Amino acid sequence: MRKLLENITSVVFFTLLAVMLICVLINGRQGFAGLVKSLPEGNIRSECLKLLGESVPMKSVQKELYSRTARTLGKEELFGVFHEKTGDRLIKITDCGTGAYTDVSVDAVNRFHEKFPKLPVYTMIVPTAAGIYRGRLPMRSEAADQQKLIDDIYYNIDAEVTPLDVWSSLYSARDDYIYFRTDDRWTPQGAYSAYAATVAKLGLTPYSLSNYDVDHTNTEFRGALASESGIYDTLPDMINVYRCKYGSYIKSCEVLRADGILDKRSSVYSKNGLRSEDKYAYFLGTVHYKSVKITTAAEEEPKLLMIGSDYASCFLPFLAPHFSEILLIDPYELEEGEGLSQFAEVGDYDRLLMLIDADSFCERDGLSAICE
Amino acid sequence: MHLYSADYLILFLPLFMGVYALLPPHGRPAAITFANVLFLAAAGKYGLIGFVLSLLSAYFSGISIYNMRGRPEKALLRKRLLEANIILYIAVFVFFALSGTGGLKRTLLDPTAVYCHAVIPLHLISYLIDVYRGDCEARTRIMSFAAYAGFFPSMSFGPVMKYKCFVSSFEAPGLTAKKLTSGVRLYIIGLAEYLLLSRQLEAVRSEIINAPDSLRGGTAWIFVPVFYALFAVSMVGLLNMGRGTALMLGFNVLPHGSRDFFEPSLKKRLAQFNAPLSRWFSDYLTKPAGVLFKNKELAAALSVCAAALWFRLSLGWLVTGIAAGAAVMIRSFISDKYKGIPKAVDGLLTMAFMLLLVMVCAFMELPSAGMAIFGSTGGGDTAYVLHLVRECIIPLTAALIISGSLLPALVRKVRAVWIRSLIPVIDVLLLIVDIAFITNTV
Repeated sequence: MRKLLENITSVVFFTLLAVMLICVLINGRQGFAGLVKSLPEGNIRSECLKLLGESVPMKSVQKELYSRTARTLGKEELFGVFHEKTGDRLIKITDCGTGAYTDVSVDAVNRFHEKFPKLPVYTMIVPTAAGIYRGRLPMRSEAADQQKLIDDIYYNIDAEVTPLDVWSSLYSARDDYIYFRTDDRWTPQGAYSAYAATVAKLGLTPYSLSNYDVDHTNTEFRGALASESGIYDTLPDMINVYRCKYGSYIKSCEVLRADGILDKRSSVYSKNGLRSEDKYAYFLGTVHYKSVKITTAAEEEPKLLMIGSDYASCFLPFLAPHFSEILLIDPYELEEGEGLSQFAEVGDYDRLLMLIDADSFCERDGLSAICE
Repeated sequence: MHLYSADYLILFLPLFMGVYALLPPHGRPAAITFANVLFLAAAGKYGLIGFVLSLLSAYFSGISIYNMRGRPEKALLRKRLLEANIILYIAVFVFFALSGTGGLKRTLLDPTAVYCHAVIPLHLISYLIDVYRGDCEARTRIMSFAAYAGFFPSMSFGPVMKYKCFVSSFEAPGLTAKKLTSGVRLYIIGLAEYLLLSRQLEAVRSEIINAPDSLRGGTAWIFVPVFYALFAVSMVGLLNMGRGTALMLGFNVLPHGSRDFFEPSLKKRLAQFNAPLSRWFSDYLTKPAGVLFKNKELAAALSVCAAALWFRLSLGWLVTGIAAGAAVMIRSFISDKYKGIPKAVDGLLTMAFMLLLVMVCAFMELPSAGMAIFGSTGGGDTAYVLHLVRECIIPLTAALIISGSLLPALVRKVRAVWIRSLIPVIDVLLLIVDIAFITNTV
């Protein structure tokens, strides 16, 4: 009995390793074969380790086990995501203060305004959850002070470009459900706070909350931060949308997806999106699009050109009642060589609104495409 | 590739052990040599070149030293040949420690550095001295010699193996189920200690080091126990992995020795950090130096200083080594002068010396934190300090228990069959958690 107990460990050990080895070799057979056929320029071992990490079986289960054990041992941040217990939310720690593309993005905005001086341009840099809840992060020395960062960006942008400050309104509403708990994007409620605070500067009268019906999709989901960090014990998120009771209705919504397929619908919301992995696709039917063109019944109203990151998806429905046409371009989904001029005749539009989250503005390359 | 990396555990170990088990005993040194070369090559080509040159030098010098024995006219040449080789291996160690060539430079407790070329010189020096002293014959089979010299389970921080203790083992290593099981269990535990505890403490240590100056006050005090626990548990984890792998391969490496938190002798307390290393230093440095200087305490102090520099070749660790050597001498003086000290007081005195040495070492690592302590202990952000405490309290406590004597003593006392039957279950659960950690920190 004692001998059996002693030998069980080594039998299980080697059996488990053998099974892992076989699974890794099967899952990553193409990658490993490619590695053997053509040796990469970089470090072979690091390529091999990367392949190994991608090929392990039951990855999500292992990640969750790792996450639970690490948190039991006291780790508060996993894979750059912090579990903020007060609001029971996951916050992606971003250090966009050292963003490589802040100056490039500011320069792109200024160059665009120089190219089209007669077009009124509005810029809205939206803070992420890491900015609004920075005070709740114990390691806030790592998270950028986004309020200061956004102020600096507005200072450096051309004075004729109108900045739209949403920091105060979002900060005031920080105890409300303005950011998803398990995703790094804002909710329609957060988008409405920003809309109510800034739309007057666009020359429009905002619709108050009582003018909206809230549509509960009753679809719970866990966003990208949950799968990134392996933390699944927060409350799940819910998509609720705001439908305006008054104002014009949407006649058509044409979405040019990033894969080139054109999707034509009559609503900005898509129930199919709730069946996809990323439930944010409920807005516009996809999270990866190059352009979205919305036409409404209000033909006398002005036309709006929007340049936006994925934060623009749930802001768009609030603007629809005010414009006859809205064209939204996501510069971060455009391919190399593609520019704004291929999708829009800028002169046809009455206003331009840039709505970009702080992270994308500072950390991602793509805004220069608006000048092409 | 290291004993705790994903490619070692998932790709290398099952394949290697499968082949190793099927080989006849006399063929196994060749498999170990192949693995040694693989480990060295993964670390960098310069490490491999250094190994080959050192190996050839030791191989031919060993044969010459052995052949010149018993010939008085060759005595001086024999001695000079030994000295020249020792100087060569120390030079190789210093070269890799300082130059960072091929990614081999050692940083604190990260054994991606002077990886291999911290242990290889010790193995080669051990071999040559044992042959010189006549404790064993010169090795003529280069494959088994290369297997010993660059023995891959020892390449991180040991266990450093004295040549004379393993002469026959490296000729024809014998696999047994008992050694295999003991090795597997020790490896799993070592891996858990390193991945679960050491890595967590390392993250806290990095966070403190990289924190802005405004947060240094309160965090400086946390740094001391974190540093000590990190050092101790990393050592234990790596040694357990090394010893476990060596056992799996059929080598009966001695245990590290019991780690007694209340050990009254400072010398023994320091030796507990890396018992195989201290045994090596005792045999090849302390005893000869004791004869040379006619002073055992000075010799012990010298060995402690040399060991500190082996851990890290830097000014900070030189200061730590000198402080440790001085502490050993002072402690011995106190024990000799006041022989009637009660054991409890003796133990407390040693703990006080240890605390002082740990603080010296920690603040050599983080000078600004040392100044912050004297400047303002209340400085810094309370929330940030509490965050650091939350992050380190569990791994710190576990590390101190594991690196102390409590856990091994508890395990030894377990007799009941039903409790012993839980041990394989714990082993398997630990293995599953180890794999989860390894695959998520690739």
